[in-house]
Amino acid sequence: MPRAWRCGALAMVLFAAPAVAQTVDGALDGIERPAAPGDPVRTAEIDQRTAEIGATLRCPICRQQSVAESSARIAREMQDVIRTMLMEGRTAEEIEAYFVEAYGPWILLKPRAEGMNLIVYAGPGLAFLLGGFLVARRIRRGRGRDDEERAEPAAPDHLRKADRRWIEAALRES
Amino acid sequence: MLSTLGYASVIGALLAAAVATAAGGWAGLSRSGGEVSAALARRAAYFAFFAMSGGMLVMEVALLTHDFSVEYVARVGSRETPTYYTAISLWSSLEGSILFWGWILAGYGALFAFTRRREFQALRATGEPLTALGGGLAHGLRTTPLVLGVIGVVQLFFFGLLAGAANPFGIVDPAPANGPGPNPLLQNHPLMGLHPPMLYFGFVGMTVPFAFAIAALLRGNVEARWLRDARRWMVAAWAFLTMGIIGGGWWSYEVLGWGGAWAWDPVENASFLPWLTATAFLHSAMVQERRGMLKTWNLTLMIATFLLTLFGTFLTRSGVIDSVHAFTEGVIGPVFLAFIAVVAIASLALIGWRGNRLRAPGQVESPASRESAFILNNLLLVGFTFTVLLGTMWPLVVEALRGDRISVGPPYFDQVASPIGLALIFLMGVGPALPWRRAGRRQLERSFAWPAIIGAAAGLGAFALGVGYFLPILTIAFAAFVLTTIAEEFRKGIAARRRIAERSFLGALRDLFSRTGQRYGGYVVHVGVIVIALAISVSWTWKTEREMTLRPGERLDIKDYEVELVEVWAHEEPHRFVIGATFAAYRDGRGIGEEQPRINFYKATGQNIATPAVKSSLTSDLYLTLMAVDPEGGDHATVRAIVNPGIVWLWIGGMIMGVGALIAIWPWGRSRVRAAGAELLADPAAAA
Repeated sequence: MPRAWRCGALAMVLFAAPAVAQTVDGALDGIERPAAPGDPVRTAEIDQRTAEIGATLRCPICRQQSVAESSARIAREMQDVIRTMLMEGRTAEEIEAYFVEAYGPWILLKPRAEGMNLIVYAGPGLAFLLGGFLVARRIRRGRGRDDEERAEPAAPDHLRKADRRWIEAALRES
Repeated sequence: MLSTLGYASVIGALLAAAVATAAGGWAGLSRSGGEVSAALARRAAYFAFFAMSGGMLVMEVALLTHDFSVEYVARVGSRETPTYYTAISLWSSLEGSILFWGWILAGYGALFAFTRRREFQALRATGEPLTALGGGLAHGLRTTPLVLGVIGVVQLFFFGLLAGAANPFGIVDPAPANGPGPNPLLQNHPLMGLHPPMLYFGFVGMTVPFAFAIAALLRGNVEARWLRDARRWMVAAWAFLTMGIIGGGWWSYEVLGWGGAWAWDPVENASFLPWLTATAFLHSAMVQERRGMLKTWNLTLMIATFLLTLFGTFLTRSGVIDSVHAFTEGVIGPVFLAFIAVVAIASLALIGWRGNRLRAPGQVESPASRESAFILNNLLLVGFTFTVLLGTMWPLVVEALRGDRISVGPPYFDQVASPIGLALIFLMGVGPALPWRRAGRRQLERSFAWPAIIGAAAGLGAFALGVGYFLPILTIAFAAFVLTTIAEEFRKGIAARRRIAERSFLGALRDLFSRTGQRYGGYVVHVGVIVIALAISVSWTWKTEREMTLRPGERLDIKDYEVELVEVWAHEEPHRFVIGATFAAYRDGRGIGEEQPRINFYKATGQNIATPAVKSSLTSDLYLTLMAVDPEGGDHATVRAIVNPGIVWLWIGGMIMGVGALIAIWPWGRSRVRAAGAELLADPAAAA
């Protein structure tokens, strides 16, 4: 092995810091769980559902990355927990509850629609309703005044004398 | 030495900004006189740029010569960092990026003064100033110094930060022999040299339209030329922001290793919010141009955009986003917040004071009109802004009120953004085909029959070809609908030019762009947006992922790709160790070259960064991330392979958007300006 290899490997083991999203501090521990195709209970469907549930859980040491996306060791371990629980026949709700129990509601990338959190779900809808109402009123008001409005076209921003002289000067200049 | 020189530059710029503010404000607001102070404001704008350029240069010299007695260099520099990353580490940390921000701000001020140089030349050339009836500067000449004055106020804030709370030129004594180097994530990919400057040019560029808005409010007057100019500046800043956001997605895709481009991260949202309001303005400004309506609303959007750029910077730079409790730790957090509050309150007061003078004379006459489409577009974009803001801020609100920590992440944003995005795309097909004022039933049928048929056919065709998901089917149908209306617009425009001016096909196209660049450039932007929407929906729906541990010679197959591990290797660079794996990639059995995903270990900061290897093609990308390697040296490696269909079209769509924006603001020859001036003289009503 070249020196670089040993230094790199040693350094990675010693200093592995879970500071940023892409920390791969599990990198040198070998393989915790090779994705073995021969695994009897593990099916493509289980893998699919593991990924789906993983996408709704936050990787605890990353910045806004889901368990399914992150390559951090803890995220991969959580992924294994999800898979194991699914293979034991637990439901998605039970798995979610398990992680909320362990980490608090913070672990859910999509907050539960209950209590105060209802605002974050209802807020956009209410805002669009209110905005839509204001816009509709404005458009209807315009239609009401249709006739008088058409007789009198939108007043133009008139040019002041000074502006006209300035334009003339600028044109002469160019 | 360098510290003193740099700090002196900042102080010089600060003084220049003070002069620009005072002189510009006087020239813009006084009732008589003002010729001298207008000229002074202009000189001050130039000088501020000169001084800030000096400061930038000093910092670059300090970085490149590794002068660790300069505090900022001691924090982000290291002798081992490659020169390219040393040069761009100017924006890798807070103080340096504020310095860069200040330099761009000074640049915008000077550029604005330069574009209005003819006004000042007119002042000088005639010897006697062009005066209004009451004496002093003519009305039309007062806006320019006032805009310079408002830019000066913003400069005062940022240069003040540089002189105080965020001073990059602090002195370290004794100077350390070496530094830690920039954050590893920021020295891992060359795109770091491109994406942040684009964002900064976009963010800072929003200052100019903001200054236009404040100047208009102060003077109680919005002219046609004012609107045209304000919008040009807005388009320019918007284009930079667009490139910055897409470049950020690209960077994230190439660096972060999870195979995606956008994660609704607070930092990303912070750049998206002003983009949304700026986009809203670019559309509603057209209603003002054609119908004289929405003046106050447009001013509000310009001000809101500027405030959101400040707010985004505050969110991402103060540390408040990780936790409300981190708020007090950042020095510049409270200062930023105070400035935002002052600007917001002052702007609101101005709008309240002047709102009546800007009251719109026009009315929307029918729901089936282009102005209605634009207003609906604004409703969607502003509602979108509110939604993203709510989701981004919600964790902070909950933590502040109840002390609980919650997350609002991609699953939430995807859910709320999809319907809004689809509605916006649909509207892109409706708006351009609607006439101003009102559309009759016959006209509606004529305009929309073909686009609707083609859109429906595309959706059904996608379904028949086996697309089994709702989102992509709808996106494809809407995309076909929009592209048909845009094609029809071009067809009509080109046919008209060929008839009237007897131009060739390409000549007619050039005419469309040079005479009506705002409109046809806008359509090109829309094509870019459609391309991006299709890329997003396709890559989300059909993204495939597989993870496997391989020994040399073993293969992983995924979709039409195969990946074979050749070897695991390691080498040492001055600033990092690299462990990588070489894979031979095959597509449909044919070799497509070698891929080398790697894990970089940065010595100075002790961080591991996994760098993916990406093989792009127009149909799909093969994306490899090295997840783990055999610690004993190269016996096996765990790799995650992702096949991302169509993701290249995200970047291509972004480039199309950029080209469209360029068409819209391209100076298509001075003859057009002269023609516009002559037109104004001949027919004052044309100004409306």
